[in-house]
Amino acid sequence: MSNIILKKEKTLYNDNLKARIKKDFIRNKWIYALFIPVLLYYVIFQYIPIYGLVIAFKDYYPSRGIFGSEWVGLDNFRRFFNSIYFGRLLRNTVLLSVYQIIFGFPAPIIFALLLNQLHNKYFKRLVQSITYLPHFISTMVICSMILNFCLKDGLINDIIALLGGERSNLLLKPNLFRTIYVASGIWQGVGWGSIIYLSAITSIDSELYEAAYIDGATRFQREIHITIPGIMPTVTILLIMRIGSLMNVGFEKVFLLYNPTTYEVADVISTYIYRKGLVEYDYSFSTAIGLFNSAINIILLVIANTISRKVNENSLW
Amino acid sequence: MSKKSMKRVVALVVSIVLFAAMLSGCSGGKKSSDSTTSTTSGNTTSGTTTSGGEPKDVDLSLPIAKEPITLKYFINMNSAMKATMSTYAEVECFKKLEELTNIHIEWIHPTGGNEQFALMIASNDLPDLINWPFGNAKGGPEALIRDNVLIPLTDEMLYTYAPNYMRIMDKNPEWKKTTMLDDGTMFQFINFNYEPETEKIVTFQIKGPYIRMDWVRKVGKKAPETIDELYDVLKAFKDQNVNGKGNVIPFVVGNTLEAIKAIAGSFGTRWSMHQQNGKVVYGPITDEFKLYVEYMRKWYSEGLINSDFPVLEDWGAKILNSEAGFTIGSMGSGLTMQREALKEKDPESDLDSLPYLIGPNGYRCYVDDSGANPRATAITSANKYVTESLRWIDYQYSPEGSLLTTFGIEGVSYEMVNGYPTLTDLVMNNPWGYNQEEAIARFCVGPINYPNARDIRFYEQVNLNTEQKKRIQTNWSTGTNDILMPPITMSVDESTRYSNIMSDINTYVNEMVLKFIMGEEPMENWDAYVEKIKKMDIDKAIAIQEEALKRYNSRN
Repeated sequence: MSNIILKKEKTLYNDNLKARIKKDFIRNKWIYALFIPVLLYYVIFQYIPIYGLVIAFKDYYPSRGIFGSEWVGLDNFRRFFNSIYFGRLLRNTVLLSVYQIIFGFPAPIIFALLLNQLHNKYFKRLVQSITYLPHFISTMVICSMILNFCLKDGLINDIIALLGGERSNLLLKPNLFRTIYVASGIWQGVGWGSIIYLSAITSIDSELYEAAYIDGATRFQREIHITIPGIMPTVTILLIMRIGSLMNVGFEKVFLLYNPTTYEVADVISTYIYRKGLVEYDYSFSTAIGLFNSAINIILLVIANTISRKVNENSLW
Repeated sequence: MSKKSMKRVVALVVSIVLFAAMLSGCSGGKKSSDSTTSTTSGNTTSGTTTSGGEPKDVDLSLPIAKEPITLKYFINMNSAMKATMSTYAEVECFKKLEELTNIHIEWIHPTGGNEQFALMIASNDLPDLINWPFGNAKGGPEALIRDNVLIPLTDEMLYTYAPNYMRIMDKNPEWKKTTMLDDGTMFQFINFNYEPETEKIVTFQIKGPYIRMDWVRKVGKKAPETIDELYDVLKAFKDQNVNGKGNVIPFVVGNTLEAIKAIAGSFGTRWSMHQQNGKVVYGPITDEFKLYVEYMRKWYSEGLINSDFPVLEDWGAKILNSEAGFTIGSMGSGLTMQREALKEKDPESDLDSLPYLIGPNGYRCYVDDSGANPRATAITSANKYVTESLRWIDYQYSPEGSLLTTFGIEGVSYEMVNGYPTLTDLVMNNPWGYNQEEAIARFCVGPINYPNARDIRFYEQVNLNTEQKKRIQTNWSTGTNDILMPPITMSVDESTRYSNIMSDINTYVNEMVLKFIMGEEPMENWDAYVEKIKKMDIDKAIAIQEEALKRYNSRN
């Protein structure tokens, strides 16, 4: 008896589902129409080209085309792992990313928390506008500025000389490269990155603050116990996504700032791929390395997501 | 209008504007050729080819094609042309060429770099003719012929339809050797300067050392001839604060490292593979190279080389600011242009060429081989008019064709004065505001890299018309090229193995040599550095080059 009832409920539900979908389509057809170009973009430019990854397993010659080139299996990967630079590239890529996360990730959060404390509307707006501006400057221009400031007679050296230090071209020093890279990234991104945290903060119920005030909590305690937990879901999601692109150290910025004297700390996987793939036309090799890169990223993404779900119930999926 | 319909109108207008803005991002499509492509095959065909390589007797008179035909030609556009036109079709000599030959050229000028070439090869949409440094393609010209992108040209085809080119090649056998594959296959047409009387190919020096001679005189010295004399002069520049501003850079080097790599020639070595006593060696691990690095290290530590050279982009500015005293660079964009600009700022200045410097071991080598992979034109497998193409290319190596493409239109851009083609004022001192380079480019190919037989009388008028310019040639001819490798070709398999070995070694050498020069790595570690390179299989790479060299030398 109960089986029949369950079955009946199930079919009713299915019918309802079909009907609901149909209704949804009819009601929102223009929104779906708006969505179609985006869908096409992803399918045509992101999904279909995935088949091109197959050249990572071949010895690709442009004159032979993808299907005409010989299959070599894991040869390209083996070549990469056996390269004397493999360890160094991995280390540089991971370290640069990790430093960016450790120092660069909390910066917008702290900045948002501080901004939130400002009472003067106009001052707050002024600060926000000024700090957003660097985000819009292109990487090329930022790097020109950095190159210029780090020159022997550039701005930063002027400051160093004032403080009694010795002038030297800062970009020729391997031990300064990571600092310059991360610090300039923070300077560029702290304003813009704080936007999303500010909006998360404003969505926290103000009654919680009032209740805490009545209970005698200091400003600092209110921050720690209300604001930070309140934006935790946002922070977690963004952190997971950040970790998921750990291995994607931006090619442009490193390429513009590095030179042979700083290769040992600055040469990352993406710049190596550039030199091999485009300058030396070793297309298969560089595709293989890129594939390896993405595979690591996916693994990291899944791990970060799982940990986050277990630990604090916020996760991407 | 009601508020609602007003909103609708505004929304419609905005979306149209946005759509139009989006469309403007699309680049205009390729200009369709407006000539008629012949459908008949009534043009002279090669017929059945007879074996034995004997040139057939065919009618070689103009026009080349009975019915007009179109050929697609993929070729880089030179910057002198880029300044004033969008395709080579606007150059007067090509217009005339089309009239004479009845062949219309659809010029395809790549805007990007090497990626565009690779894309074109991979796309199966080949043009009829390609001009490219084929040595730079993956697998080299061997791969392109193997994969049926380019076609090999038989002796019979060449002697029948390209007699002018072959005649010049046979008179210059050393040059002919550089254009063929190891097994003797011919497939490309190179460019060169030649003397029309003897049809001998002539090379001009385009790179060499130059120095502020006014500064040399100011510090009381004479023009340095050896490396040690140069050291004294550079030291004097610095110690005597020769420009009075305290920021003298005696030897300026830019981030391409061109100048510092070039001076290695004076020590008999270079930063890559070279010959030594008939064998192939890898420069950076030789003893001569060690000596060179020690010298540069000393010079760097005494401040004779600018301390930021690995990151200095605009070394030319240092010369124009009267900060730099000496460097090694090219003639056109370097010495000549900088000399003029400096003279305007400071009439006392005297930037002048020096002969190649003699090193402590007596070497005096010219080691730049940026011309190792020359641009050349080849015929693709998609070409349906092979014989017409051959004749069209060959015409530009004939005496008439050479005059036409080198000098332009008789009576307009040049006049025959006592049998000597003299460039007219229209190009030399153009009244419409073009500079000399641009004016020349409107009429003819002139001095640029283009597959024709370039008449040296052009150079005599443009690049050798002052004492100072003539001196550049004599000074820079002092460099010997005996240690340079000739343009060997490796087989497809060899070149894969070779580049696999060399790519990591090149990175390592670039890093370590800079560290040695800049004093960040003690010279005691030199032997460890050489050991490491040996461990990276450099000997296998040297063996590959030796093999290729042997095959090159036995070409005929």
